[in-house]
Parts: sequence; C-alpha cells; structure tokens
Amino acid sequence: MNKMIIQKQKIALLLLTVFTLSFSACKVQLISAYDANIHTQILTTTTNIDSFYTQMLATTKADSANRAYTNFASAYAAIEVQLRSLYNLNCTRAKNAQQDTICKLTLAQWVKYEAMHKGTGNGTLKDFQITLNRDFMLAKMQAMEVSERAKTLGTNQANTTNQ
Amino acid sequence: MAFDISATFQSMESAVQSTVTTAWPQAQAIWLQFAQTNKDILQDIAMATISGGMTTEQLQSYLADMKTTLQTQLLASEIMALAVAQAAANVALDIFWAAVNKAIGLKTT
Repeated sequence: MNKMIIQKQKIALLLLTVFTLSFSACKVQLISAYDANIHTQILTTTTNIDSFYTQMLATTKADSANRAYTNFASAYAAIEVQLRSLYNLNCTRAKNAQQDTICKLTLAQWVKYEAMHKGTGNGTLKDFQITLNRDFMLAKMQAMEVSERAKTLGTNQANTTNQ
Repeated sequence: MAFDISATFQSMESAVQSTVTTAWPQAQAIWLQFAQTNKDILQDIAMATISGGMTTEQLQSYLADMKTTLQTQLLASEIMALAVAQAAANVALDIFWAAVNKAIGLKTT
C-alpha cells in the first residue's frame, strides 16, 4: 500500500517537473521583438529625409529652375525605396500591426509630397511647403523610431537614441 | 516542497510595479517629444497661414497630414503600453516559475 503511494507521489512529482519545465520557458509576447538592424535603418532613412529637404531649402530658391522636380526625382526615388523596404520588413514581422501601419502611412505621405512637388507650382515648391513637408515626414519617422525603440521598454536593453 | 503563494504573489507584484515605474519616465519623455513636434508643426502651419503663402486647399491638405501624424503617434504609444505590459508580465512569470521550481527542488538557469 505504502509502496503504491510512494509510486504515485513519484509520478506526480515527475508530471509536475515536466509541466514546470514546459511552461517555465514560456513568455508573454504582445509585440514583435526589438530589431537593432531595423532601428538603424529607420535612423538612416530619417537622416536622409532631413538632409534631402534641408539641402533643397538651403541651396535652391522658390520658383527657380534649381528647385524643379526633375532635379530631385532620383533622390525622391531613393528615399521611396528605403521607406518601402522598411514597410516590407515590418509587414513580415508577427505582432507588428501598429508599426506596419506607421510605415504604410509614412510611405503614403512621401508619395503624396513627391506628387505635390511634381504636379504643382510648375514643378517647384514654396519654402513653407518644404518646411512643412520636412516637419511631417520627420514626425512620422519619429513615431516609427519610437515604435521600434519602445520594444526595449521595461527590459534591461539600453536605449541608444533620442534620450 | 513548500510553496508560499502569498510571498510569491507579493514578489510578483513588486516586480511588476518596479518594471512599470522604471518604464514610466521613458514613456513620459517620448510623449513630451511628440508634444514638442506637434507644437513645432502647428507653429509652422500658423506662420505659413499668417504670411498668406498658404491657400485654404493647402491648409486642408496639411491638416489631413496632421491627423495621420497623430495617428502614428497614438500607434507608437500603443506599442509602448504593450511593451511595458509584456515586460511586466514576463518578469512576474519568471518569479512565479522560479518559486515553483524552488518548491519542487528543481534547479533551472
């Protein structure tokens, strides 16, 4: 009788051990994991956008031929590629719907501003349009950067930027 | 094989509290950044409107951009909240399983 009880206890302990080992490695995952490469890519694209508009504002004048869309077409395309790459990368990540939407909205805004430059004012922009286009693009890039950096919140991983 | 449920829950609670407290100033700094960004944008819109350079159509277009910008900031804030909740839940689970392991005499790394 005692032998049976001991045997049952052993089985119970074994089951508990197996159960514990199975579940102790489980983690709650509400969002995708932090990706340092994507974070770097976001920061690089942000710098490129800032540089693009700041140079346009500093080196050209409103209504001048220098500010014509054709002079910036290749730079627009290069940044569009970077933004689309970020969007595609984020689409493939699980539990990443929010960041995916941020990337989509940012890309759509870039395309809108390119069309604005291409289609209005004889292919040029006013100074205030450049300033505002830069403001809005950088604001969306800031949200994108925060959405990646935020994934380290509450963990021991160091926050590297914008502190 | 002693398992003190009260002590375990107390440890879990203080770990969650500590995680949230540590993350709070970081989240607050980010919200301040967003607020400053929005302030700067609205100031630039006001300047362009006052100087007469901006048409009503352009103003409406930029206000639509403001709306999507706020949307992205809210989405980023949602990620921040989820990140803190995730970290807090995981730190609490780690403590719980460590207590269970200890109770059954199991050594895990």
